[in-house]
Amino acid sequence: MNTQFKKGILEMCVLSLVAQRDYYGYELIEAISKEVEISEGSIYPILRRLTQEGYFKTYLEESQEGPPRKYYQITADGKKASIKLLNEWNVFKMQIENLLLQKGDKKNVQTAIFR
Amino acid sequence: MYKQQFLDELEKHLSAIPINERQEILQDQNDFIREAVLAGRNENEVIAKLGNPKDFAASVLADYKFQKIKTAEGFIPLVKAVVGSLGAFLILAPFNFIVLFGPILALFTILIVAFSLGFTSLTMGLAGLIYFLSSISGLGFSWSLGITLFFGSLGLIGLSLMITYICGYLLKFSFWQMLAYLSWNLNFIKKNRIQF
Repeated sequence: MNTQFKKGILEMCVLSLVAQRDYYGYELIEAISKEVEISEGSIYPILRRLTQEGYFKTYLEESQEGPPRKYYQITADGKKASIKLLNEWNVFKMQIENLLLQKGDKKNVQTAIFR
Repeated sequence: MYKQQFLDELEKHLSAIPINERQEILQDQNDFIREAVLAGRNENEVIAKLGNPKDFAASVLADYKFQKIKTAEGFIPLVKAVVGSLGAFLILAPFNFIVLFGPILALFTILIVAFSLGFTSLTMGLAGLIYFLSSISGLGFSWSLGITLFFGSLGLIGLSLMITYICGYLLKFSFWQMLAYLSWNLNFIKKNRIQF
């Protein structure tokens, strides 16, 4: 698949997963690679960028297995960004589905999204 | 490749990044490998999947420089960030650097020269006008020649003012274009280096 396209989607996945609950790096990579085929090295740069942009905060928490883990937690800005991305994604998904299926009334789908 | 070897090599290639951030990146990778091993995976396989430390470092570096440019506030920090990224550029995309940077530099030189010329003629025109006005009675010009000279120098001043202004504007514009171009390049490197 187109790398750039996949990368943007991956960023959205990271953002919305952390919006649901706090994750530590490895856990997040596991959660994503369970569903999507990714290179494991590609998640940390995204985590770093989203943290630098103020979408995530990090904190350390003791673990039973070994040294403390770094957890990522969503901020208010991050929450807003994830909602916005998700909305855009839903609209986009509907539009593409419409296009690919070549059926159904486009207006209906759009009103369904914005209702 | 063993874990320590991977991390050492990564550290070596990330030397352009400030120590605290570098440590953080290394810590993240270290944590990742440790967690993977804890989950029952083979350490060497995990490291092999992360790829060549040099490529990995290159993507991190490009990301870092790009972020620096994006978050720079004010003119001087921005210029600093861009100049700082040039080194990373030369290593990561020498082709773009050589092929496209030359013409850009040439354009800049031309604009700077035109700007200075416009500015010089502006000051000269002004000085001439002031001299002309201050000593008009002593020069013994005829009335019509005086008028011609007066409006002529006004015209010259107007023209050079226009040239200076346009060149200044073009300089500013091309500077921002260059920044955008550099950012785009860094982004391009980043996208191509980070593999899925």
